[in-house]
Amino acid sequence: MRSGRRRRGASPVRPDDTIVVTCVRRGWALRDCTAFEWLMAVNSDPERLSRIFPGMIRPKDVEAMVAAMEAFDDMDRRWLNVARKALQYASGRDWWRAYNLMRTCLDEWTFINGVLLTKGCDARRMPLSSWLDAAYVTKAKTFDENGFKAFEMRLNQVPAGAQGGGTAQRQALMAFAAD
Amino acid sequence: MTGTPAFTVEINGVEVGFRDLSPGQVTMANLIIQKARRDARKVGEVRASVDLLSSMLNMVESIIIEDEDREHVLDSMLTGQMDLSDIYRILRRGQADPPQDDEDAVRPEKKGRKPRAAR
Repeated sequence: MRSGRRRRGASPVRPDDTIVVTCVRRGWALRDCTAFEWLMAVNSDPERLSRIFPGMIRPKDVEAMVAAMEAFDDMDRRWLNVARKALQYASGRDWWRAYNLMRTCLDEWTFINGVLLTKGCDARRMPLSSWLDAAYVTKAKTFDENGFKAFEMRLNQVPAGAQGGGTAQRQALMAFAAD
Repeated sequence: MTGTPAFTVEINGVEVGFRDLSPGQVTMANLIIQKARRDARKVGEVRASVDLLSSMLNMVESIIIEDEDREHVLDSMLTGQMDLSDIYRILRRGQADPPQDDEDAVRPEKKGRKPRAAR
């Protein structure tokens, strides 16, 4: 086989972008997924993020996960926590900011994807972090100053029932109040 | 058997009960079936993969099938009456159409001739 040629069906995301998360005291390497796959994973189960974890584990780890399901009673809770961590690692930002930005992009998919495609940013060929950077700038350019602050506040909003956004939310509120 | 099945499906004349699945469990069941299919393709022959299918079915069973139904589903698979695509279809159906408490409430009204008494 010639070197440098991509396997048919292989992800265009580089191997060194592989994400490893810890669950039930062992590491799980996730499949190399494009931004589009991450977006679809969030879209298909926004509540539990199950298409991220365990949905993105590698086929060779499936049996190990089944064994873990039999050994632990609280797998659903563990899966959700790990899925959020995985989203954080993949996006390179707080998971709730990535989650909110992805939900916004999914709501306005035709517009945002269209603008990004005309600029050469294809979600099917890019890693999540880079695509979200491009989406963030595209979206931010559509706002005036007040609109941008409201957008930032929405991004910093932690989904109900989750933890982790206290500091960010306070900072956003203080910035908004100080203005 | 552990608890009441969340929904039942008729497979070869027998009602098979399925547990209530969380989204994560449905995802896992789908991953198991995908892996089984991939492994079966690698093996090449259908009959040569019977052991593999059995072991995969054991994993699927551990998640989705009530204990008392295992033998029936395994027999159906090994005799060729049912394969992994059936389980996959059942999973999808279970996910998409949860059992209705009141079937009449969601049944669309039939068009055509009215019953004799109503005429």
